[in-house]
Amino acid sequence: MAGAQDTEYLEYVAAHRGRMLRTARLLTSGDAHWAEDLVQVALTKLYVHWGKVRLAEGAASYADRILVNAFIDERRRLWRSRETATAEMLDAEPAPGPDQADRLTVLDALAQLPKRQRAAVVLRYFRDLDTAAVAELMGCSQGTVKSQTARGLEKLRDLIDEPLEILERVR
Amino acid sequence: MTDLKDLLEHAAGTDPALTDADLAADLRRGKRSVRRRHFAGMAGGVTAIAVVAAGVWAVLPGAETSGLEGPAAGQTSAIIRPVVPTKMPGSPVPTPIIRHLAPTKAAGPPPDRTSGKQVLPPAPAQPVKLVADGIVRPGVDLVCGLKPEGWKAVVIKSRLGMPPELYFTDPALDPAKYSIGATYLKVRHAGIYPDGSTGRMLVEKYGKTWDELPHVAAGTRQAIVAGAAGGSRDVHMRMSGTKLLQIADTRNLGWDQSTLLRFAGSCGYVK
Repeated sequence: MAGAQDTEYLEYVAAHRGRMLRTARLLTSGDAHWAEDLVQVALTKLYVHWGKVRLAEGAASYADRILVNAFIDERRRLWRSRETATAEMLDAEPAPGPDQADRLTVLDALAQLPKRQRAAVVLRYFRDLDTAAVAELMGCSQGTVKSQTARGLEKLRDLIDEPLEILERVR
Repeated sequence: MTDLKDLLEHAAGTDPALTDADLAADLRRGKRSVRRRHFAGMAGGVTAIAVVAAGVWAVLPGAETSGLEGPAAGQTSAIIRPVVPTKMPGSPVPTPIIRHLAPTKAAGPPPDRTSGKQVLPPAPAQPVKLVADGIVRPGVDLVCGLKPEGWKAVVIKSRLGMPPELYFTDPALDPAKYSIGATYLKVRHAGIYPDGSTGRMLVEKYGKTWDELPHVAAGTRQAIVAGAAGGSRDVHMRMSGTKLLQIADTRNLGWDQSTLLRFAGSCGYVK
């Protein structure tokens, strides 16, 4: 890849890496290492096809599609399902600012959604994408996106809006 | 009240600081991947050529076997047969194979949301007695004329930016024995809106238009009933052209379908 294209690629990464990582954190329900893996996979593939995608379809859309597909297809890596994070840094060093318990509750609730529902909810409500854009990213119909989103939201309502004493059992 | 966007923004954490080392590492990984692809492409090409050459060598008439002698008497030898063309000159044209597509599934109840399998409503259970309610509870714009005897109403204020919901639950149930959300009879607003392409009203939960789904009567209104794993049932009741109420029995709390529909038909908006 020519030097000029490398520069363009680095400018893109500098501008979008944070947004991709935050999206990946939600997709992985707060698993920071997995989120970083997903972003690295997406950015690496983006570099390989940079010359084509930056002109043809837009790098952001391509990178997002890789990110979402890498997340949904993660089952191919069997070792992932055997590993369970037990020591979250969040407990040891809570970030300053709003209530961390709320954050963990939302991440726990997201973790209980099937992957496609989780991806649909995150892309629609965190990334503010419309159903057509989400359908393109997830490689499915708009109707599927709508139903996955509705089911995901319904489950989130059940998990997040429960009375407090029940929420304690989730944590 | 916090809406879902705020909750997700908060849960996603802060924007991480990006260092030059991160950028350099991303670039290095990309370049390495490009090199690997080039190498894999070349190796694949070489392998393909080798396979083709070996094939040609094996079927070529009179091909030598590297000067080695043939197998000794008594040993089994491989027989190289000539390659026969698939269609000899003058032979009849082979009959094409016609594949029949599997018949499309008839419209039935929507699939179970956890397994994705088609689940029929469970067999009728012992009905629970319904008693008059009709109490307007503060903070929620929903009211039900009936309620299960002995059950109490709970108003749930959504943190996801949704309107408040009305739940009924049996105080005698031990919540510890049930999964989250599985001890309630829920009355809530549900989504129905015009489909972008056809303009027909689409039921958000099922991704299908209202007309496509089978209907039953809930009081004076039309409704869709779906069963799910574990005996839970879900009623979507049409309140108007653009309004839909969902009544969900998430725990198959001993209700048969007619009782559930009678209860659903008694629910509506506060006037």
